[in-house]
Amino acid sequence: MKLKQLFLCVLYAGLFLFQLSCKDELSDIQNEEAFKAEKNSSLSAREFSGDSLILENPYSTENMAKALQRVKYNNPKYSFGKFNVQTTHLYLKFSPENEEQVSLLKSDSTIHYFDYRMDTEYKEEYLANRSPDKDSIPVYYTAVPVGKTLPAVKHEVLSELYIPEQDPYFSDIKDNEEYQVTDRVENKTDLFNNLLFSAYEQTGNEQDLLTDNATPEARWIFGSKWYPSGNIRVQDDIAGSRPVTGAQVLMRQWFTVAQGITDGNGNFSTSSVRGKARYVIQWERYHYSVRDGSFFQAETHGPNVKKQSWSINLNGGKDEYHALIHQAAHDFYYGYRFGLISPPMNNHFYNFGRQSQIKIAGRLSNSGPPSSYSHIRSEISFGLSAQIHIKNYGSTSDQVYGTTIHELSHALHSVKDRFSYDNIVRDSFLSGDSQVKNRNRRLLESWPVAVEILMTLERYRVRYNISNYSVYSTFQIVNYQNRTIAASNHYTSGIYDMTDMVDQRRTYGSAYPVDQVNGYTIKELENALSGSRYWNDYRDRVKAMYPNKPTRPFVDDLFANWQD
Amino acid sequence: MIQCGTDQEETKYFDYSIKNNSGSKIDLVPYFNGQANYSLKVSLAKDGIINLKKEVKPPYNDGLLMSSFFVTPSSGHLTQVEVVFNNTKRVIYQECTETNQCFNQPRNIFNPVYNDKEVETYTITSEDSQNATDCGGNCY
Repeated sequence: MKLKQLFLCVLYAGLFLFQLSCKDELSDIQNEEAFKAEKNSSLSAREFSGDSLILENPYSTENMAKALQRVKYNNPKYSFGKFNVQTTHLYLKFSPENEEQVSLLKSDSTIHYFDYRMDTEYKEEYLANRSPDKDSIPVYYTAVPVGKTLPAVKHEVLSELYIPEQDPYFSDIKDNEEYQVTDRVENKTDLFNNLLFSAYEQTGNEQDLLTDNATPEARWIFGSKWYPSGNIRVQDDIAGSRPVTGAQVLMRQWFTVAQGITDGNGNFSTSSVRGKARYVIQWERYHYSVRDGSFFQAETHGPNVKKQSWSINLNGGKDEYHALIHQAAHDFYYGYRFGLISPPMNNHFYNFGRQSQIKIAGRLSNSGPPSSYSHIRSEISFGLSAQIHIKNYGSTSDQVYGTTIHELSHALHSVKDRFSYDNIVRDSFLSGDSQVKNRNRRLLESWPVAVEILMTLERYRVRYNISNYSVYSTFQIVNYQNRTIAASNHYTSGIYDMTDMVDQRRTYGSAYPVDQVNGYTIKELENALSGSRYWNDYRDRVKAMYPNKPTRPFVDDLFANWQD
Repeated sequence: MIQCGTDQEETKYFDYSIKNNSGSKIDLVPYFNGQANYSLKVSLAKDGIINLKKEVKPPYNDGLLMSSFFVTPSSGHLTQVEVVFNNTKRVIYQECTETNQCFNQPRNIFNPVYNDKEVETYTITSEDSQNATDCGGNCY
């Protein structure tokens, strides 16, 4: 009972401290009301206002109706039949109040959310450096077809939209390479192009449609659909320029979003768009989301172009950092992971409850509190804080990759057997007995060290065929083998040592672990986590589960290298 | 626990040095995967010293070893270090392996005795110079 009270006490103290630390990070940005007021006071469609470029919305149903009136006025003899402008989409702002509600939003992978407005252009540095809203949990913007079932999360309709590009009425129009707007309508193709151009022109956005050779007398616009495509690579410190796989590239044209996923060569293509659209890499997949800092969705913004592919080698800074974190997460969730179970899966029901999308905060820091995983931190802060924080900014690529794998391996452990995991964590940090702390903490940390080594080796030694690569490139501890017993009582090579053939004692001498164990797979070692509460408990479970392993008699010696 | 999750542990402060007390000018030439890389050579004047410091936090996948004076992210695996004295004599030290038990080689720069703590200094002495092999006029 006392232990429970102590735990709760520490929990609340932690929450208090957490809120304090977070308040330091929080500063106000314009709220919705301020934004509306600002927008209303701006008569010009394109006018810088602080960090944002406020745009008049060409797709509002109201504006489209006006545009249609203008087209009709110019073409009194054309039969418009039953065609009319009607709301096809809704531009929405969601304001989730907790992690559970964010999870509801992310449970539908057909809706793409942005944590900034879709009818506003921002200065590049603003999105890169913005501070979170004082409400703490970001608000999300999206546009959905009318009638779409919406998640039960507080939201408001910012605008009713008519998007002619998505209106089936125009599905059979001609796909001209270029189209000259003359205000004259003689067929459906003319109607589509004139309506669109009028809507853009009325709101001061016509440059988005006009071609480079257009003049006031000859208003040529992009008439044909085009298919955005490109290639995404990252400059890896060890392996050089390499494809980023599994990255989600969004092509955003106002409220229309086309999606592509990079393949094994980093290539992507999306469905078609017309006119100008912006490439955006959103570092998010269904099961995980990489955050820029603690709160906002990490994105890499590409060019706003017409009919151009986009190829980029992400080299340095936040974009490279986010790409590497994404790559590690993607490899763990969707790639080869030695048969291990997945880290926590979005919208998946475990025996302890439903799990939501894992948030991985890519902190731009290499100091202060270290990288970490905590499901409790996220739960008690109602999703305010990401479960995983990576603080390896400026480290070599393999260290960023390995640390991300390490933290995700904690997450894996936490869903493999939540009850045992929480028990290990509790005793690791709250026990008053240092021996209990050590024996728990050693199991807690040695598991992710093992997965970290194996998956980092897989990336560099196997996938990129760097035969002499060992973990890590600049800190040549040779897959944690060149590390004394005394170097760390918790972050040990002990679990990895059961999979490899190296006996450190023979190579480095008496200060190093004796390791005559080999022949275990990481999957077998994962299975032994279930029910294990501390170092020797885990040892005994490994021995009991795999009684026929030839090196089983040496397991006791291996585990005894590190004493409680 | 709530603040720092699973990886709260103490910071390690690494401080590594190589001192030249040999009485000669020396060059330290790293070999990666068995090949000398002269572009990453480290030169030390008589009585010279080089030093590296690094602060490391959990999960401790960074730090310093004597190899840290030579490696870059893309240099590859350091297999040997050649010490050249006044371009007249040399000694080559090889990394630790099961067949090259460097912990039995007192002057080997890879010997764990120079690599197993957070603060280490490897001092090259006049005795090292005396025990080095003559290059026959030019070591390069």
